[in-house]
This record gives sequence, C-alpha cells and structure tokens, in this order.
Amino acid sequence: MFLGYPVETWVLQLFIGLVNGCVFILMALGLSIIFGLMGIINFGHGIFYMLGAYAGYTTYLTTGSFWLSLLVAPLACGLFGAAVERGLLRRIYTAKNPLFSGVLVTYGLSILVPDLIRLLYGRPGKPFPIPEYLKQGFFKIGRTEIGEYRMFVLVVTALLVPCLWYVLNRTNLGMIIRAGSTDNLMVQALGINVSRIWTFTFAFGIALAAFAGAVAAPLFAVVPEMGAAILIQNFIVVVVGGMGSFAGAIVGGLLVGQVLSLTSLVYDVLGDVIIYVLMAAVLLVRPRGLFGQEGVFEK
Amino acid sequence: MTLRDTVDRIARYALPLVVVLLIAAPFVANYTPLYTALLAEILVFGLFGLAFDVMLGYTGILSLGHSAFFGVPSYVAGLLLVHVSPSLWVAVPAGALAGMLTAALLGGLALRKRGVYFAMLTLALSQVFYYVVRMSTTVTGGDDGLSGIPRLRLTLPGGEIPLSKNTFNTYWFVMVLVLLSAIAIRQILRSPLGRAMQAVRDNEQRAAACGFNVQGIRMAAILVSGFFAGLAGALLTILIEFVPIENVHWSMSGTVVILTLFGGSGTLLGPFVGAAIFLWLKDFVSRTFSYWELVVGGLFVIIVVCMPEGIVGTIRKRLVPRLRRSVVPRRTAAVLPTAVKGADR
Amino acid sequence: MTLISRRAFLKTSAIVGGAATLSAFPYVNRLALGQQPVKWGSLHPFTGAYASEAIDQRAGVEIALEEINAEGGVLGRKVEGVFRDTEFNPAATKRKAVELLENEKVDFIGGSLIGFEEIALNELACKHGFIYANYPQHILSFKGKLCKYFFTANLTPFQLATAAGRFAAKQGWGKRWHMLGDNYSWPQMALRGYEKVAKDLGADWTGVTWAPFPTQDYSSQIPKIQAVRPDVLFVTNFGADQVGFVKQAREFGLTKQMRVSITNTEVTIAEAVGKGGMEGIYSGMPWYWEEQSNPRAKKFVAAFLKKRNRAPMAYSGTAYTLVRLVLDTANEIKSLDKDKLVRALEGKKFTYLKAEEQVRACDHAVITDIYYTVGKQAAEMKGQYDFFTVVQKLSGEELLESCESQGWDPKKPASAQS
Repeated sequence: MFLGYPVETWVLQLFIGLVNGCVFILMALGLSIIFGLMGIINFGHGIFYMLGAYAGYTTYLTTGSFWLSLLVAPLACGLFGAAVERGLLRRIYTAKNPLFSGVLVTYGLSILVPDLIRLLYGRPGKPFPIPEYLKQGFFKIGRTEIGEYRMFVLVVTALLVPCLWYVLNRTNLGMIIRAGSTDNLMVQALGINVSRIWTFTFAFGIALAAFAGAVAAPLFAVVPEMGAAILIQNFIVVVVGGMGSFAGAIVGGLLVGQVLSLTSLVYDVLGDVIIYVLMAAVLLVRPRGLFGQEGVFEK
Repeated sequence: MTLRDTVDRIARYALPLVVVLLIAAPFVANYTPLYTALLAEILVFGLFGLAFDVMLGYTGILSLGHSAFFGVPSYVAGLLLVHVSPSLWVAVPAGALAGMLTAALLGGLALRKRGVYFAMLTLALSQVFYYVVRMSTTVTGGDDGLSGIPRLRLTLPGGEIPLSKNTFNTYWFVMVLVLLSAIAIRQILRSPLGRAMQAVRDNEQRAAACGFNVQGIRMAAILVSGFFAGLAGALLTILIEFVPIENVHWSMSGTVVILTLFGGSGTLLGPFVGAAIFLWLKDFVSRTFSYWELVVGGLFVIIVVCMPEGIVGTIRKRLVPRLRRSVVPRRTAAVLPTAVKGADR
Repeated sequence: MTLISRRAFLKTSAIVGGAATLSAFPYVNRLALGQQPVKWGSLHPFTGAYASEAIDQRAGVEIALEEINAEGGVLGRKVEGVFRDTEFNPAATKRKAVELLENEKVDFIGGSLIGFEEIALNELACKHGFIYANYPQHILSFKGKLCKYFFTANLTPFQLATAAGRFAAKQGWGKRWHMLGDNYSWPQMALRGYEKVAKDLGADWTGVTWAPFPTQDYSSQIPKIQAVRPDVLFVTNFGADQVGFVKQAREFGLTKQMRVSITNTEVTIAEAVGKGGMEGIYSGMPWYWEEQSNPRAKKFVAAFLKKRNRAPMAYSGTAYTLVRLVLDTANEIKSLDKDKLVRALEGKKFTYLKAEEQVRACDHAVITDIYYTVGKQAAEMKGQYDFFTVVQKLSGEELLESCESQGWDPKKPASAQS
C-alpha cells in the first residue's frame, strides 16, 4: 500500500499514463515539427486531432473497415493541412511579425472549424466503437482489465516513432527539413524548393495529429470540442520537452502522461496544476526545454 | 465650404464629438441592435484590449496571460462587493490595483524571457491563477462563478445613483471611467515613457544603445497594462454583477488578442472597434444563425491574412494618406484625428 | 508585405453594412402590430458543449408555445417566443436577459442549461423582478439562494441521487456504494443525496472519486474505483464526459465487476455512445420519450418528431412542461402579474407528460416521478432512438431534501420567507 492504494493500482496508473502519453507523443511530434521548421505555434493543432477522429468515423461508417479509417484520416487531413498552408499560412510568412500572425490564423481556425463540423455532422457526438477484434481484455492487473485496444495504441506508437525518427534523421527529406529549420536561406541557396518542403512539413505534422485523433477516437468521445482540451496539454508537452525537438516530444509526452495519471490518485485537478507549474518552471530555468537546441527562439 | 474644411472641422472636434455621442448613445441604442447593455460591454472589452495593446502594439510584447490581469481583479472587485462593502469607490480602485499587482507578479517572473518564451510563460502562469481560483470553491464559487453581488449604487456627495436594474446609469458610469482611462493611456503613450516603449518595440538594441533601461521599460508597460486590464475586469464585474470563471481562463486571453488584432494593434481606436465588431457580430449572428463561430472565426482569419494591420490600422494606412494628400495639405499634424495621430509610429 | 486589396475591404464592409440594415427591420415591424403579443424570452446555450441539448430544449419550448397559441393564447393574446444564445457564458447570458427585458419587453424569461447560467438568471430575476422559468435541474433550493420568482419542472440532483440509492437497495445490488463525479456543483449536490440515502438505508458508503471538470478520459479514475471494490458505482457527469466514461467503463471491465448506475443520462448521450453502448447500465431520467402514458405526451412526442425529426430528450420534455405550467397558470388566474403568479404556482399540482406532479411551496422543488431506466442491447432496439427501457418510476416527497435542512420553514411558501 502506498498513499492508500495497493501497489497494483499504481502500476496500472503507470501503464495508463504510458498509453495516454502515446497519444500526446503523436500529437506533440506534429506540433513540434511544425514549430521547429516553420516557427508557427499551431493553435489549430487540436482541430486537426478532432478532424482526424471525424475522418476516421466517416471512413468507418462508410466502409466498415477500422484499418482503412486509420489510413484515410491522416491522408485526408494531411491534404487539408497542405491546403491550409498553401491558402492561408503562405500569406503570412512575409507579415511584419509572422510569429504573431501564425498564432492568430491558427487560432481563428480553431474557432471556425469545430463549428463547420457541427454544421456538417450535427452537434451530438458520433459513436466510434472499438473494433470487435480488439475488444477483448489483454491482461489483468489486480481487478482491472487492460483491453487489447490500449495495447494496440502502445504498439502502434512504438512502431511509428522509430520510423519517424528514421525519416527525419536518415533520409534526404528529413535532412532538408532539419536543415531548413536551422538555416532556411542556406537551404534555398542550395537550390532546394523550400516552399514545397514547408507545405509537406505542415501536412506531415497535421497528418500525425489526425492519426492521433483517429487512434484515440474509440477510447474517448468523438465531439467537435474534443481538440480544445488536448491542445493546451500538447503545448505543455512540447515546451517541457523542448520546442522543435524530436526526443523532447517523446519524453515530454511520457512525462505529462504520467503526471496526469499518477496525480489523479491524490487529487482530481492536481495534475493539471502540476503540468502548468512544470511548464513555467522549465521555461524559466531551461527555456529550450529538456532536449531543445539552445537559442533557437531566444530572439 | 470645401471638403477640406469639413474634414478639418470634424477632425478638430473629434474628441468632444465622441464624448457627446457616447453620452447620447443610450437614448438611441435600444432601438438598434447595438443596445445599451452591449455598448457598455463593448467599452469594457475595448479598454481591456487597449490595455493589452500597451504591451503588444506599443512595446512589442505578446502576452498570452492577460486572463489573469483581467480575471483576478474581477474576482477581487466581486469579493469586495459581496463581503466587504457594496461601495464602488472601493471595488473599482481595488480592481485596478489588483490588476497591477498580478501583472507585477506574473510579469516580473515572465520578463526574464522574450518572444515566444514570454508568451508561453504568461500562458502557463495565468493558468496557475485559473486553477487556484477554481479550486478555492468556498471563496470564489469555483466553476459556478461568484454570485451574491448586492444591488449596486454609486454614492456621490449629492446622493445615490442606482446602477442595478438601470442600464443607462451603469452605462454612463462605465463610459466615464473607460473614457478617462483611454485618455490617460493616450497621455502615457505620448509621454517620454510611452516614446521609450515604442523605441523598445521598434528596435531593442538601438533603444538599449541609446541608454534606455529596456527591462525597466518593459516592466512599466506590463504594470500600465495590468492596471487598466484590472480596471476593465472590475468594470465587467459591476456591469454583469457576477464573476464568471471564464474571466481567468486562458480563452479570455485569446479573446483579447482576437479583438485587439481585429480592430488594429498599435492604434487607440483599434481595440474599441475590434470589441464592437467582435461582440456585436457574436450577439447579432447568434440570434438567427447558431453557427456564429463559423462567421466570426472566418472573418477573423480573413482579416489576419488580408488586413494584417487590423481594421483601423488598414483604414489608417490606406485611406488617411489619401485624404491627407487630397484634402489636408497644410496643418496636417494638428488636425488629424487624435486616434490616428497618437498612434503614429 | 501582404496588404489588403481594396476589393476585399469593400466586400467586408458591404457584408457588415448589409447586416446592419437587415437587423433594423424587426424594430420597425413591431410598431406596425396591433395588439401586443405576450412574449416569452428564452435563453439557451446554442454555443459550446451542450449545444445539441440546447437545440432540442428550444424545440420543446416552441411546441409548448405553438400549442398554447392553438388553444387561444394567453389572456386572449398571442404568445411569442424570443430566443437568444447565451454563448455558454454568464456575461452574455445576463446581458441578453437584460436585452430581452428592456428591448423586447418580454413578460417571462425561461432559460439555461448549466449551473452558472442558472445562478446568474436566478439573481437577475430578483433584481429585476420577473418570473424566471428554469429549464435544467434545480440547484438553488437552499434558503438565501433561491429567488422567489424561480420555478422549474425539472429535478434536483439530490432527488435523483436518493432515487438511485433507493432503486439500488430495492434491487439488492449489494451494500458497498461509491460515487464517481466531475468535481463541480451539480455532482457535489448529488453527493449529498447519496450520502443521505446511504445512511438512511444502511449502505456502506465508500466515498467519492472526483474527476476534473470537464474530463473526457476517465482511465486514470477507473483503477482507483476498482481498488475500492464497490458493489454499486453511481456516476454523476453529463454530456461528452459521460460518453467517454461509458466507453472506458466497458473497456476496463468495470461493467462486469459492479453495477453502474448513472445519476442522469440523456438520449443524446446514448446516441454518441453508440447502439447498445448503454446495455446493462442503469440511469435516472426526469422523463423518457417512449413513456407516452397520456395523450398529451403522445401529442408532444409526435410534434417533436415532426419538428426535429428525432426523438425528444428529457430536457425537451421538462422545458415544454415548464412553459405550459407557467402560461396555463397565468390563464387560470387571468393575470400576468408576477406576484400573483408566484402565489398560484407555489404548491400547484399539474399533469402534462408524466403522472401528476407538484411544485413544493417551500423550496420550489418538484415532487414528481423519476424514471429509472436500463440501456437496451443493440439487437433489442426497435428504432434509432429506442435506447432505454423504463424499469421503474420512483416518486414521492421523501426523495427530496427536506425543507428544514435547507433552511426553509416547510409550512410556509418560499415567497413568504424570502
């Protein structure tokens, strides 16, 4: 017994925090990549998570295939993300203060898009159940059954993250993306079409958020407001881990997942307070975050 | 009389004209969609936006923590009205001071960082205030908001003026304070301190090289901003006789960013125009079309992308030079509307 | 540098200008009317988390007004609904209520779906002096909080909790009880009811697990509950939160280990959980649309299906009942005077969609049936909205918190005490 709960409850909380951390990681990676390369604080990231869930739901409804919905959601939302980059964000890169304008455009989107979904899908939430073949209990700790689906989320993230790391660190494309984030002009001077890379990067980050949304949809309620709450938590993940850092997004995601999960045994909103305090502390003491590069945005 | 003379004359009497219009507004307002209660709220949010813009538009600091500068004072004013004294002479100054104190605390911590880091830090710290307010349910009412504010009246040497249930009186009370605050902010921005803020905004290195204490000037901007944001928070409490928890939530910071940039950052009139359009649109669209966020959000995106200077900023930039060229060649500087002149960069 | 093109600017101003002209019309029209209609102002949160519930609530109000007009109106005058969006925000709620009173000159205000709106409007009712018809649950039954102009046809959280407790005891589900709730005022009030009923019936009360409000992910709370090992779990949350909870409860095997009893649910929630998602879960409701035990209920459900092309929620039903209750009473006493209406409404018995109900005079709570339902299997469902079976109707004053314990003198009406 520890703080009034048996050890297995604490172990369980660790596990649940891990799975929730996975959803954070997928989302935060997208947020972090977009921020790292383009310097855009994407306040619209939450809506792409929501759109991913709705795209997944629509695919599931029409085709009945869960796997297809996991594929269609990131693709469709990625395309939409590319359109947003080409149509809107492109126009603000040259603004007097692109950072502020980026915040504003994406903030505007985060107001507009949920209403669009309400208009298209109606206001009540949509049912997106766990697929039948992943519905069984996988293992049991104490009295709690951990379902196959939570394990599935864990495995998918564990497989996806190394692939992403490989793409970003070992391929030409990844090299260009990373180079572009450090010295944009230089990359352009080397004759690389940076504009296309930016479109791709933004779409890629969005696709990750949408994938997170589609994966998380069977676990949570699919409602137009689902993106708002998780957005701020992801900011915290990115800030704590280090803005623009790959490892940071992973460690930050795991950390925030654990903090929220473990503290809930003690007091309900304690976790929320702690993560904000953590965010403030990191910004004050080590503004580049746990893994961020020094001085990238210290202007 | 030529066009030139007309523009001339209007410009000269801009301030008195605005005052007369503001005083007379309630007599007409209730026959229009811009009814009196909405006008009063527009003024309050306009002041909040202006206070926010002292930092963003005049000193070049983006704060995402203004919910604390606005919300904490609204609770302070509310708690004083409920528990200590129903006198507005206590609640309003206390609110403004609370705003300044919150700003000193939050700004003092966050000022160590710049740019994005400053913005993120203010966001994080302001949310800590939100959770503190939310968890102190017995004092603040938590999620339900603070209720129990008594009937308000304004005590003057000559007698008492009832504010509750009298929208006109409430409006005039709010209007006078907002007008005085706006004039005070204008004076501050024209003072050496204000000029120094703008110097820091335009080029920090140059300002430092000229011998300005950059951090000190930033702190001053934060304190001024906090004071007037706090005043606006206290006024909102008086206006709605209730303190919603939303006042301290980060979405309030989002609202103030939106309405300021809507109207035009770096202009005195901008936040008021922004608040007017934002609140009126919300109110009006929501009457007939419940997807108002679609309309407001869409308009907002369009304005940010196509009119990066905001409504007032763009009009000033596109229209005023044209007017200047065609109709006011001589005494330009002296006769241009104050709002435009005060914001000259 | 992106500058606005002039065309874009002109377009924007044309939209804004056009809207302003349009909006001026209603004010002109009003002058042209002969006899002034009776106006029912109605405030709903069409924005935000409860928007879908708000729209169905509005439809309930509209049906009541249409029926009354068809029956000859109020005091021979037509009755007209004026609807406003509260924007899910107390400031806008209050401002729009003032606008309804001052500009629209409404005779009554009905409204709200969530605590803060209810509290703000209740205060305004006493400051401005108007009958406030509260559509959602009654959370202000304490002396010092309730304004005498406040009336409702909905339940109190205390009432729902004691009904759930009695139902659980009657079913013999076991003695070990626990509650999971979102930490805000409505579940906090339900908790008082659970604690009281557990004490009265000798159940073993193991306390409460709080989740922050709002929460979409209860996975951190569920193991905590499983560690407590209750026989019955009472769940007090609403909307998207409840949808998330039901999904996760099934996933973690909670529904197999204990009885799950939801304090209050809605058709919209069952819809978002999905077909059969509520299977085996018990829940309380103020009314359920398939219980059309009297002709009025039949008529109401038919009208609602026609209007919204979907089944009415319990909250549509209670809003309908309340509008009819207030306006029918006005017709009975032949007056719109607010103080006369208060006296007539206190202690009034009425029958609309349910069996006979009564406004308790001392705290304006309603003595009424609480419908206890169980979710159907997907295969059992006969239609798109056939989610629940009503197992039992619990009623009686003993479900309510006593007037004394809320600071009221039970023998006198609230209006004589505040």
